[in-house]
Amino acid sequence: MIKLDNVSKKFMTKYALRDVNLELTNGKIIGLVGENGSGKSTTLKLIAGLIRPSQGMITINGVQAHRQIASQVSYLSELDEYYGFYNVGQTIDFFATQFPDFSRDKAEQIRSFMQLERNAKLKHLSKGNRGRLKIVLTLSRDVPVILMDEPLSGLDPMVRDSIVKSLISFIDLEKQVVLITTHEVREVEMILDEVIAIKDGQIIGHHNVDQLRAEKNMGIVEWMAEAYE
Amino acid sequence: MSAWWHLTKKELRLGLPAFLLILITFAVILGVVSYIGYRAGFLWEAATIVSVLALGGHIFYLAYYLLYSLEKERKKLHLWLHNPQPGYALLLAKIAAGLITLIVSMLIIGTLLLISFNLAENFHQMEWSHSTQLAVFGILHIMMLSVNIAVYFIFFWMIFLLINRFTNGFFSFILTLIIFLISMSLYGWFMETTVYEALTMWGEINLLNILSGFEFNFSSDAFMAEFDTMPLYLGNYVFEASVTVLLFLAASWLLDRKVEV
Repeated sequence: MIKLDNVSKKFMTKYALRDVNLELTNGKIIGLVGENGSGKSTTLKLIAGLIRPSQGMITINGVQAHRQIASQVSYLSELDEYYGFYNVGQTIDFFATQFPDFSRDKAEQIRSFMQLERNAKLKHLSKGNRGRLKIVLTLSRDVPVILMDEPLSGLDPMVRDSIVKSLISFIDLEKQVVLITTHEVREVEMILDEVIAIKDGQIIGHHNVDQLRAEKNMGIVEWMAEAYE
Repeated sequence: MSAWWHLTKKELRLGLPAFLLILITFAVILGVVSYIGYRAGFLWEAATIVSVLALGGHIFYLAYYLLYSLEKERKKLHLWLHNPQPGYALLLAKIAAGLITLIVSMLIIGTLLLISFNLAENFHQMEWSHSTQLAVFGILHIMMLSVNIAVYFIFFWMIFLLINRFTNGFFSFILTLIIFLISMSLYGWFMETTVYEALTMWGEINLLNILSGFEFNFSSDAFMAEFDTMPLYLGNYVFEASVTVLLFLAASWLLDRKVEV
């Protein structure tokens, strides 16, 4: 379980997050939606232990988040940076050496599903294939928490579709919680269990998607439009 | 250990261009100076001098190598830091990769030095016992100084990364430089104090015993260099080693607890 307890994050004088309280339980795919600069990436980096809260506490299964929480968290950055001297296979092999929970078999399955060539050089990969590789590396780990920062951003519909399908196929929802930030709400709407809306560093809504449909007769996009008014 | 070793192999691959650049630069300079020396009739003497200077310059090699490696990593900090290994392991992998390439680089240049020195007719041959002693003494000190300077560099690089959270790269560099200069001034002032003397000036090592009678002469006898009684203290080595270890631990702590992506 991921718990954010009264968390604020300040950069100089500007708040990126302010007094955020969240509890995210296992077995769910949760969407974190909001405008650019609303605090989505900051939230993910805080949970990954890559930045530290100015105030409050973040715990993952009771352990305070710090840099080495990487042993429990698989984090996909919005950035497309990898070691360009490796090819796809070497990158997968390197990740397998760094994370004891990394499954080479699962990585091969996802790579093959994504139709990525093992020998393809990273520096020659298209943006779409780099996006696919990020998915391979992130989902191949057997960790309780998977964080994905804009995995669909800037990708064509076919790549987005293959990524969404891989999310359904390769996540173990009995053990894992997935927190995903995205602008492409319509593309992931059908796989989300919960949705959290964030605006100016504050949580403005947190709903179960099925309840939202049943009780308010709204999809996520309609709910977001209402929440942002 | 296995994860760390694979990380070190990645560091070796990441730092390969830095290593090759040094060797290529050395080859180019050696080629130009040797050509000039050849025209003047001092081919091997010129090659010897270039090789000696290049070997001496290796005291900055590790810091240069780490500058290249850490700067490459700065652009993908999330990739480097999203790793379950502790900060000291991440940094040690870089230092180990740097040391491996430092040794290879010194071996290549040292071999060229040996060849050119032996072929340089204008240099009187030194007695082998003395030149071996000098080589061991020199190589050890080049490596120790290289590690020492590299750890200072890593520490101030962490300061740079901390400042870089709040401002752009240029101002971070300027501020880090100012902090570095102030720190070095304070350290210089501390070195003048009796406390520093008490901490370092014990366990005198007689260099003349190590390099007894070492001298080399040019055939003309116009130039002679001698090692005189250079005061060396075991305390100095212990003190510098302690400062190096403390700075490394501080840098590792900063990487784990303060540096942000």
